[in-house]
Amino acid sequence: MTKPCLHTGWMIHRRIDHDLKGFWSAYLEYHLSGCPRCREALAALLKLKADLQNVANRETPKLAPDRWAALEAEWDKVDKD
Amino acid sequence: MQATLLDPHGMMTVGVNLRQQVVTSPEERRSRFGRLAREHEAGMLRFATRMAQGNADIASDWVQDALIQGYRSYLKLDPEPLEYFRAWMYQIIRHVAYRASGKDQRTQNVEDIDAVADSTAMAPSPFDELVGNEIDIRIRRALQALPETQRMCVVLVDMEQLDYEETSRVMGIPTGTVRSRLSRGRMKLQELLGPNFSPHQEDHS
Repeated sequence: MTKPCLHTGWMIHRRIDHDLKGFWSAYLEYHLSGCPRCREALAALLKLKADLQNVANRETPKLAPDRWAALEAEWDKVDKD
Repeated sequence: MQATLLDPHGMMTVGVNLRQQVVTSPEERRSRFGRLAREHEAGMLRFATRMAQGNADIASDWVQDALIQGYRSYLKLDPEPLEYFRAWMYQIIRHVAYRASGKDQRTQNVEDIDAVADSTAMAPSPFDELVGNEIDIRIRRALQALPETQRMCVVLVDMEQLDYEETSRVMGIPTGTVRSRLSRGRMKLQELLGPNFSPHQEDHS
């Protein structure tokens, strides 16, 4: 695991969440242009986020039909109260 | 424009977009709640399954309970939490899960939670066997090894794509705490997945 420079760690995390703006965004881009270590850390975190997203996308669990039937019955009771 | 509402149980707050205010009949509300529940079924079950350490049956129980409680609250909320439905339901699922597992979410002992996570980290779960390839299984196991507080932030932001604000509402913690738990969780995940799990060595199909 490649760790980013101490002062850019928080910026890299916020960048991959599209939450880094203004001065800090510009500063990080400038820093990345000259720091292979931070570029590698950024690439690894982007890959991790993509992997996690892919895992979620491949999981489409469903409630069993009998659970939905039970829910409809409970919602009916709530409607009558 | 947003307002913060307290649900009828006085347990949770939720941001609601006032522009979403719609006056509708009870039948329309029921129909809309049912549609939203089915639309977010997979996400709610994924979230609950992570909280249940991979146990899909327990997760289904929690989601079912949450949808009953959620419907009761939904009928009383004005305006309806349409825009924030998913985060709002995750918040209810979290409360149901904590209540069911006997945890007091305000005083949970992080060391205890870490110990539980460590003891189950490498054990294959029924969820593992049901779905997924080798990469997915490695990631799910690594996720289970994270302390719960970090795991839930990673799950909500990186897997369920909630933003920091929504995650903060679901978890009942400030956004700054979400950010720090998220970054610690990601770093720990990278550590657990190991150096061979690098951008250049894993092929993603």
